[in-house]
Order: sequence, then structure tokens, then C-alpha cells
Amino acid sequence: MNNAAEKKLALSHLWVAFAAFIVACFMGEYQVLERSGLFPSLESPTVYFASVSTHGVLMAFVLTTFFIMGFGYYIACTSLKQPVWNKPLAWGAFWLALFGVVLAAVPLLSGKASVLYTFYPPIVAHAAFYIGATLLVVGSWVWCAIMLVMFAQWKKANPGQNVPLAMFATAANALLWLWASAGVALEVLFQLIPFSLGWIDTIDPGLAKTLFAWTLHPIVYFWLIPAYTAFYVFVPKQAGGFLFSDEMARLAFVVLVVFALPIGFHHLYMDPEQAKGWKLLHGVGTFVVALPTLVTGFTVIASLEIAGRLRGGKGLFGWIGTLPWTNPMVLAVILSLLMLIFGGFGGIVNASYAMNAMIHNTAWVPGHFHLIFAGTTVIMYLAVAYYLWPILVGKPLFSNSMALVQLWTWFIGMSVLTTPWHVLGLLGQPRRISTVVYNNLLTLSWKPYELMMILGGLILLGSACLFIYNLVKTQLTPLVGEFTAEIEYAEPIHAVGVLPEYLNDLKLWNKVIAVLMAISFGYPILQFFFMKTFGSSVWGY
Amino acid sequence: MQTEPIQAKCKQFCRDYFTQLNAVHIDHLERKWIAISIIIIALLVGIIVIDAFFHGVNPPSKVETIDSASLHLSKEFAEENLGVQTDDKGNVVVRMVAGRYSFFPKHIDVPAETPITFRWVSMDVLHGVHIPMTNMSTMIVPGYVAEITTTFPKPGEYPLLCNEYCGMGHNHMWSNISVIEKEHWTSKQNTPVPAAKGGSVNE
Amino acid sequence: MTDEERKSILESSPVGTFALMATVVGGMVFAWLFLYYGVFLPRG
Repeated sequence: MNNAAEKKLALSHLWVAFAAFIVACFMGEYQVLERSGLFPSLESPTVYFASVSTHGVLMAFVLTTFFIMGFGYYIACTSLKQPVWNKPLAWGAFWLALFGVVLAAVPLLSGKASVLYTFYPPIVAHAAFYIGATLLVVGSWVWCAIMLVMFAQWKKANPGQNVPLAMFATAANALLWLWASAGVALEVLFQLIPFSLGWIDTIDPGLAKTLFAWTLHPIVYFWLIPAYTAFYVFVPKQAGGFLFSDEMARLAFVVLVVFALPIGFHHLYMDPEQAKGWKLLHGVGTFVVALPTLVTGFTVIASLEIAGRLRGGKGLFGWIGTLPWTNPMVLAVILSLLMLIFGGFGGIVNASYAMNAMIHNTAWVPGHFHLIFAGTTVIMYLAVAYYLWPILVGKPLFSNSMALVQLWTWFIGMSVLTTPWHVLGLLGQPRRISTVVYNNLLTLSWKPYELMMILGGLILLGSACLFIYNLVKTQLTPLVGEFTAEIEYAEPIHAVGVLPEYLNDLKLWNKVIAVLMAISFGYPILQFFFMKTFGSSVWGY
Repeated sequence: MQTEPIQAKCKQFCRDYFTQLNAVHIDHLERKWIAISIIIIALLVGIIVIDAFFHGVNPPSKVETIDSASLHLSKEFAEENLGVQTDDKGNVVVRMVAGRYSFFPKHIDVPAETPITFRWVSMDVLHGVHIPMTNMSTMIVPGYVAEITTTFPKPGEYPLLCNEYCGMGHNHMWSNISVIEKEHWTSKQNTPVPAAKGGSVNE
Repeated sequence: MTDEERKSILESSPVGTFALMATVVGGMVFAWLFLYYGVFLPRG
């Protein structure tokens, strides 16, 4: 099938994603240098908070959304073996989302949207920031629609057949994002845009935080599911083996998507606008969503074990050594899983209801999400990029050894950056400060960790530059001779028979999600409309 | 409305679901692993839930509203009423206002090894407050009273640090608390505490 | 590798994975209990 058009669509999205990534990486290193207090000439809250806001938006919203969209389009067309449905619409969504990013970038970079990537009111940014962010999200909704349409069309044309796993996961992720983004969409459309334009005088910050919390947890699974997709559909074959269980993969994706949604209040444990009963309910749900990750770990590592044993590995752990560590996808999954151990552990601590008080809004929190997101998730985005680029541009990867060095340094840099960050949190350092100016002896204990973090940031910045260099050289180096490559999806180790409909379709899960969301968010949101609340006016910063 | 056909349909649905799930091939070690994972998660959830219901280990727990724009007009959070007080039952209650860029009163004395109830309000934007190395941690959202009860085991001088972005002066937002040995602490006021004004209280 | 060896690997259960996951997650449980009972609750 000639999918040159799909390749161009995917590549355009991926370039926007990684351009955002490298700009944000430079900002990250500036931030860690500024925070250390070693360079007084750098110290400026105005510049720092503008940088943190931009860095957060680029990494959390632009890198992710564009990567997921581009990756999804190419997965859809290659796994279903049909063209992307309504390419003009897909391109329209691309340009709309990109325009939204540029529109939001103007106030961000000029310091008029220093509200951080969480943009909690009543501190308010320039309206263009919120409008730009809305356009980005609307573009992503079009992607969701295209994914679900292609899913439904294929099922109709292939009755009784199993939807390819890669597309099942991608469609499930699209469903997740539609449900997840509704919270922040309500907050931005009904509160923040009118508020920032002066159309309404007051809003309730408690309602705003609740609506944002609706989105804030499932969004991280929106980011994580493409990494898990790569774990299941690329890694086993790259390792020289087979997917240990296609059925368990589907079950994991289903439980992940269903239970990622009704659990946002673990971001509000320390907040006064929700009662403890609801917080406890969401907390229990948060522990449930740990289960599909535990199952994913098992299935993926089991696939690696089979591959390693087929390559001659003996004994209980000998298979680890015989895996092809020089394959970037295999190296990436090993490093990703290592970071998932500590990142996942941190997540479980955060989820533990009252124990959240120990680390809430301390430096532990950014330490945690850099490890689990910038580490576990993004390293897989990088590995997918190394895998897809040759296919998309029709040329071999410029340097495999450079890719390996880059992945190792990403892992080492992330470990050096985030380990002290977690310790600082346990030592009580707050987050979101631009320098340490407390006249208190406690702060002396923080210094050595901050210095280590500068080193971690430097390693990561170098690593990010290697990544971009490798991809640019791959794309620009003239082709010598012939080169063809196409995606190779992993095959399951045992033939999958007829799947139960609930592992092959999303309609049932959509209904389950609706019920769980009504239970988990119904009263907690409605309460704001029935009790006497006092709104806040607009505040600047 | 007849419920029997619906009940029968549900039972059949569940039966089909489990038959289909059992027909799916799951490796026996993976099955064991799923069981172990469920047990581990249940253990941690069990500890948390039991401690929540029976040992009072909870985060800020109830929803209480207040008008942040007119705190000085409220009886409870008027300036004279802020700080540490002992109510007529002997409970220590601390009322604090968070506002750019400090916590008021800027220095308070509390007894160690005593349950202390903190009641926090904001006079402007979102803040958070944490006393490092303790569990005194809460968000302070304008429009709401944040109430948390905790005990300080160790006497000493501690800072209270703002840990939510509240503007360009966020770095400078902090105040002090002295935790004094129980025997040496004397309560400053013994006047009865007025009831919280404004808004509803939901548990 | 003979066909028989290959077949037996493909049909085997992943004992190494099981041992690895049990050890790692067991460690996490201990670390959680340490943080909960050793750091969080003593802080009051």
C-alpha cells in the first residue's frame, strides 16, 4: 500500500513534537541553573516563571499531543492496512493545533502567561493563552474522532475478526482522551476564557481545581499508553521473540483506560473544596489502576524472557544478558522499566491518601513526574522515533551507536536529576519557588542535592541534542543505494482464538466509564452549584 | 417496573463474562501474578482505609466556605481573633490567614505532643502551606476554610513555607512557628471560640 | 538450537519474570511500609 501521504502526516506531527521538546530541554537546564543560586546574574522570578510555564506547556501538552497524534495516524494505517480516513480533516486538525500552540506561545514567552502548566485561577493569564490551548485540544479531538471512525469502519468491514492490538490500544487511548479532556475543557470554556476576557467578574477556584483534577490524572495515561503500545507491539519482535499474551495486553489497556478516569482527586488530597469521603474513594480507584501496570510489567518482561531464552539464555536470569541490548527499542524498554520501578513507587506513595501530606507540593512531586514521564514515557517516545524515522523518510538511521549512547545518557541524566529531587521533597523543600531565600538552617541541607541536579540536567540536555542531531542527519543525508523498511508488528506467542467482545470493542467500556464518572464526579461537582460559595476576582501575579 | 427480567439478564451477562474470561488463555504464572498483585493492592488499601476510619488518619476533611474578600468583616478571621487559642474544651485551635506574601500571624507558639487544629483561609489567591518534617500540610483555596488537625512530636523552631505558586513573590512567602515543650507552653487566650461564619459545612 | 528446545521455550512459563517481579514489587511493599510507619506517621 502506498502510504506516502500517511508518512508525511505522521512526520509533520513528530517534527512539531520534537521541536517543542528540544526548546523545552534548553529551558529546563536554564531553570535548574537559576534555581541553584550559583549564578546571581541569572536570578529573576519573572524569567524563571515564564520559563517554567513555557517548559511545562511544551513538554506536557505539545510534545505529547503531537507525538501521540502522529504515532496514532501511522499505527492506524499500517495495522489496519487502510489509508487514514479523511486526510484533509487530519491536516486541518494539525494546522489548527499548531496555530493554537503559536497563539499560546506569544503570551508565554513574553511573560504574560506565567501561570504554569496547571494555570490555577484566580491568578489569570492573557486570554490568548487559554484560547491557544483550547485550539490545541480541539485539534486533538479531531484526531480522536478519526481514530474511532477508522476503528469502527474496520470492525464493520471485518466482522468477527480481532482488531489488531496496536489499533485497539490506540482507539482506547482516543476514547480515554475524549473523556479526560472534558474536565479541563469545561474549566477553560466556562470559567477561564470568560474570566480572562472580563466577561464574568468572579469564578470559584474550588470548582476550577476540581475540573482540572478530572483531566490531570487520565492525561498522564493518555501520554503513557503509546509507550505501553510500543512495549506490546514493537518490543517483542525487536527482541527476537513474541508477545507473551495478546489477550492480557488488551485486558491491561481496558482496565487502564477505565480506571484512569474516575480518580482525579488524588491531586486534591490536601485541598479544602472536597470532603474526605470522595478523596478516599478516588484513592482506592487510584490503587486499582496500579494493577494493569503490574500486569503490563509481567507480560512485557515475559516476552523479553522468551526472546532471551530463544537466543540462548539459561537459568533464572540468564536471558537478560542474551537480549539484543544494541537494539534501541530493546535498550529503551529495559531502561524504561527500570525507571518505572521508582517512578511507579513514587506514584503509589502519592496515591496513599493521608500520606500525601508528607510530600504534597514539595520538590518530590516534580521529581516524581520527571522520572515517570520524562523518563519512562519519553524514553519510549525517543525509541519509537528511532524506529519510525527510517520508515517514514526511507533512509537508514544515521547512527545506531549514537542512539544507544543517547538512550543510556537519557537514563543516567534522569536518574541523577530526579533522585536528589525526591530527597529534597522529603526534606521539605517546596515546589514552584525560583530561588531559596528562607532564612532557615534547614535550607543548608538542600544545597548538595541542588548541585547534583545541575549535572543531571546537563547530561539530559546533551542527550536531547544527540537525539535531534541523529534524526536530522537521518532525514538530510542523501540516500546511497536501496533502502526499504516497514513497521513489523510483534506476533503473539500462541494463536489468539475468538476474543470476547469486550476485549475487541469499546462500547461496553464507554458505558462503564460513564457510570464510574457519574459516581466519582457527580456530587463533587454538583455541590458547587447547591452550596453557598464565594467567588474570587481576577488576580495578576 | 418488573425487575426479574433485568436481574436475570444481569446474571446471564455476568455468567457469560466469566465463561469468556475463563476461556481466554492465561499462563498459569501470569494468573498467579495477577492474584498476588490484587492481594498486595488490597493490603495497602486496607491499611489506608482502616487507618482512615478507625485511627483518624485523614487529609483535610470537610468542605466549609467563606468569603475571602471580606475576612476582616468575619468574626472568626478578624485580625484580633487570629493565632493560637484554647477553646473551652481545652483543644488548641490555630487560625491563620495566608496572603501575598506571608502567613499571619507571622510567628506563633504551639505546644508539642498535643493535637492542634489549624484553620486556614486565603485573602487572595491559591496558597499551600507546609511545615517541613511535619504533617502540617494543606492547600489554601480562596473561598474555603482548610482545617487540619495534627500533632508535633518534636519541639523546635520550624518555618511555614508556601508551596503553591502564588505570584512573583512566592519564594519569599514564609513565616515561623515555635513548637514548645508541653509543660512550658502556656495558652495565650482562653476565650470561647466563635462558630465559623458563612457557607455550609459538608463532611 | 533444536526444534524441540525451541518448542519447549515457547511453551514454558516465565519463571525468571515471576521471580523478578515478585522481588521488585516485594521491595516496593517494604519501602512503602517503611515510609508509612517510619516517616509519615511519626511526623504526627
